[in-house]
Amino acid sequence: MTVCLTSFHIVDDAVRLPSSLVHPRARVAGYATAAVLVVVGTLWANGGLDSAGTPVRAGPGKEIDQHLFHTRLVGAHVTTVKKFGENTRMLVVNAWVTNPTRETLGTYGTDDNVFGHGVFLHWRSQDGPRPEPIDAQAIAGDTLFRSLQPRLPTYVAVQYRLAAATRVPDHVTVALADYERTESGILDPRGYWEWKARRHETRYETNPLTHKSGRVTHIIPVLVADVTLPVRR
Amino acid sequence: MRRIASIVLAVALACAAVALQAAHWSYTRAYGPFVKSGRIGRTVTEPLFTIRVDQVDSARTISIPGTEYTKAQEIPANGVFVVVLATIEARRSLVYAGQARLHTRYGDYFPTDKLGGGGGLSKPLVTPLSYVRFQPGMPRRGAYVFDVPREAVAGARLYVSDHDAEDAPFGFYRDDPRRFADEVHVDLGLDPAEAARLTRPPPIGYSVPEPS
Repeated sequence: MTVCLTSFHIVDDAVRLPSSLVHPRARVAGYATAAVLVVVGTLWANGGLDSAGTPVRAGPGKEIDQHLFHTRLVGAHVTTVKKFGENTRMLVVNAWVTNPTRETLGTYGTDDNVFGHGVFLHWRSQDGPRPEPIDAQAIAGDTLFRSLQPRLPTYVAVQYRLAAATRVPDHVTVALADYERTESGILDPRGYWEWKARRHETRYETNPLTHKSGRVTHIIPVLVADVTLPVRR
Repeated sequence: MRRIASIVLAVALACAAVALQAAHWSYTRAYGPFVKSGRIGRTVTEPLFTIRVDQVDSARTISIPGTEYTKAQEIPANGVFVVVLATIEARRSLVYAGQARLHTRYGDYFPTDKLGGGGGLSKPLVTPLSYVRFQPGMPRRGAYVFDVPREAVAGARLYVSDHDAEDAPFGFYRDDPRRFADEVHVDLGLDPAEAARLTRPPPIGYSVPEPS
């Protein structure tokens, strides 16, 4: 065993150059090259620096692939409806939505994977208080409902409550979020859908229901499209 | 030689670790329901309930008669309504057959919420079987109503389990009503010919029966 080890050392020493013979500049260059190779290899293994991309600009009627929903925004209008027992002035954004997955999804609710949570209204501060999203309901005839069944195109009305001082412009632009499926891990391997993250933001918040405070991380989603719609009154 | 062996061993261990992490049982295999299969017209017996699918109908619209408080309504389907009429009886104690799905080649369809009663906060216009609490010795016949694309009808099967959304305290991330549930899979006999007959042309103004 000892002989063997010794012979290894002899071979090793014969092949390797003494460190004093390597120029310090060459050594630095070698380290830098190795570091670059590691970074490039890691990026390659992780899919590279995926660009967040810029949202596609579109008009009414163009189908947008949000991956969780296929959405065709068709129009917007201002109306007054009885909501939660009182007459409310609302901006309503209408869309045909198809659920391409194999599970029943919803238009609105507490989960992240509902259609209404991926619709954002661009708003200029000079038009007054920002409209408040309050609901998204599916409509068939006079029937209102909230399920988006697989592959069944469904007409949806996304509703925003307008403050008295809010002035609705002639055109509004609506941004649509991109979604991706996430594997949750070995304890719950079903996975779930959530916004595709452009970045994450962590804030210190207090839960209005439990009054517990703590740091909460939010996803800032990738936007796939900005759709400009005329507003009917 | 020893160094090469170490490197090979390290690479092999790393590959094995990655492979182990990537390979896991499917969700259904790991946590899925205990399934018993049956077919239309036959009674399937589960530990907590029995079910027999009696009939499958289809409709383009469903008629809801007016009441003292509501006016009559005609509810249209986005695709076609598939109405599954079944008789369910509890065996030992009070039970809901709350989780019903129509399993098709396009995916799983939950009972339509067009009849109202969403979230259990209001009474639906017609009570589907998923809202009924069954009692031992008192079989009840009623309907599950699904809204599906016409192309999804062929080969559709009814999945019913005795769990409901509040009855699944398992899981780290979310409750799942299907985990370790007793689930019945009923072949509805919807071969392509039967599916074509059922959906061509479906009637309008179908009256969904209340649970008897």
